[in-house]
Amino acid sequence: MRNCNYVWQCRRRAGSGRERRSAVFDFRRTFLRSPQPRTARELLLALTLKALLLAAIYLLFFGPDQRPRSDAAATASALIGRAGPGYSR
Amino acid sequence: MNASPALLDLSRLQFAVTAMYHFLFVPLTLGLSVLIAIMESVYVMTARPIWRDMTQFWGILFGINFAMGVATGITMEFQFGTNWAYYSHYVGDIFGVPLAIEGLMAFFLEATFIGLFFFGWHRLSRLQHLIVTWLVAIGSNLSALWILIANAWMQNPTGAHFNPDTMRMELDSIGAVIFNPVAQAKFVHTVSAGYVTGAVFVLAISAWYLLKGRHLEVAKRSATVAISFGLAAALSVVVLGDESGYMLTAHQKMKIAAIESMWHTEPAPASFTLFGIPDSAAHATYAQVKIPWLLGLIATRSIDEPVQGIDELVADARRRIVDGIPAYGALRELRRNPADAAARATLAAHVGDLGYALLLRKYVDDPAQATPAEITRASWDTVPPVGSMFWSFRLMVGLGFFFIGLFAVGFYLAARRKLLASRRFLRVALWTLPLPWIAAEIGWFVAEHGRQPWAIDGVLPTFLAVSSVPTANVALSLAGFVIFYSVLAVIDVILLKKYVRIGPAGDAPAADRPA
Repeated sequence: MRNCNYVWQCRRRAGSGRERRSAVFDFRRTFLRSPQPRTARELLLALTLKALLLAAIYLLFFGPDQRPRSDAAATASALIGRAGPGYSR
Repeated sequence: MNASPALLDLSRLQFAVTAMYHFLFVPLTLGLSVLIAIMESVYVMTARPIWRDMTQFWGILFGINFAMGVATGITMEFQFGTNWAYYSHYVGDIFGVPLAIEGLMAFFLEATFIGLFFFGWHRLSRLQHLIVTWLVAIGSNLSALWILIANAWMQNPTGAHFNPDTMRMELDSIGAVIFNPVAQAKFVHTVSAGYVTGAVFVLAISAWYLLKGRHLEVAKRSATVAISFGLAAALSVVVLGDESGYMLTAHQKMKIAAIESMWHTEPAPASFTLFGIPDSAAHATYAQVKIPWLLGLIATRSIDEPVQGIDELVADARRRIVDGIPAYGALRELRRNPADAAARATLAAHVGDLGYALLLRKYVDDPAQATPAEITRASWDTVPPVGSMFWSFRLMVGLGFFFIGLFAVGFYLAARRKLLASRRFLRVALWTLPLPWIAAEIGWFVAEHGRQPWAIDGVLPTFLAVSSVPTANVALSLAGFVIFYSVLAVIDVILLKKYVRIGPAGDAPAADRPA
């Protein structure tokens, strides 16, 4: 009964009654079971390390302190230089 | 204060290095995704396992290339924020839209379905898997569409206006940005070039197998598919590239004049310079070999319209610089007093040439104080490097015609069932492997170097778009990119070589095949 990709395929092929329930259970055991604990641990560790690494890269290179100021005033200053004494933004 | 020349050059170099490196992977992704989808379509239609083996084999090479393309593409988007902060502020409202759509729509589509492509062989029906494969191919191509819409807006900014209060370009019409004629021409030309790259890649590796006498069944079929697909794509590249040339005449006259090394306006019908030796100092092109009428037909689609030369276009740029100076003055007034109605009216009247006045910032703090000599220098800055444009374009076009010849000969041999016997063709096909990448990189060089001195054509000069960051930071990150990308390149080549040597699974001895 494992030659089915979807639960409805298993049901259809299994017919009815006990065999059908068994087929559905078989499908779930094959395709929907949780990852092995070791795999889950490794995945969790990898994702945590990745998140920490990304956070470190963000803080070191892209955080607010690292970012060039690029609002309207900064852009005006870069493009047209500082205007006269009344310039305030 | 303007950016120092070193900062500007390093920032440009960093973007060029990362973009050109990224584009080593993009065309292959575009081409190989469609070729794989074609191979799998044949598998689904015929149910012959060899076509599945071919799909899976080329799919592995596609996967390696795809991963590299993603890794190298992300860094460029960061650079807009880090190295081109004023650019990002000035045009981010428009430029960011297609980039965001690319990420959310096209990239998510291909990234989601590529997982199903690799891990879905035993979980999906044949038809479902085929749909997945086509969705990966469509996603890759849609990805290119949105990126090229963004790039085309830099070449032909449309559907937007400048807001002096926010100091940024703001979107008027998303339709105008999406249906920018430059974007359409660029998209089909670039994607066709990607298809040629994919076809040459498959043909070259298949030729290697055929020369070595390995995996003959897979190699023979792969080469035939690549040749047929490649011939159609190579013809398309040239035809659609011609459309790009026509777009240049409409929107970037200086670029086409530089490509042609055409210093003076050619009377109609303009002739195409097949060969020549450009001399920028003397404003002349020596030893010209010309094809009558051709440039007129390419550039204007007519025989009675002239094509403007560099000298005349520089004079036009000078007029626009002078016209933009009042806009610059009005903008300064508006920054000081946003309620100044007269300044607002002056800006509105001259805003179309504001970008040209900004060119003067290279020489003076206040363009209103510019001398005639400085205005002349700024107007000559609108000319991209003529010699490199002239030769790059000809090399790219020459390679384009070479691909047509290669695939045409291959098509003839395959149709006559002489492909295996023609070892000379197979050797040529193998050594052709690097050429589509060279052509694609040169194409981008012509497009982007020819856009200089503009970051956004006619709107924002490149030297004003660069961030005010320490030069050492850019030098350090550039060195980091070069080292990191070199390591990635080595890994990529090792992986590709490894899987090419292993070959398709279907040809492995029965004992080695997975159950």
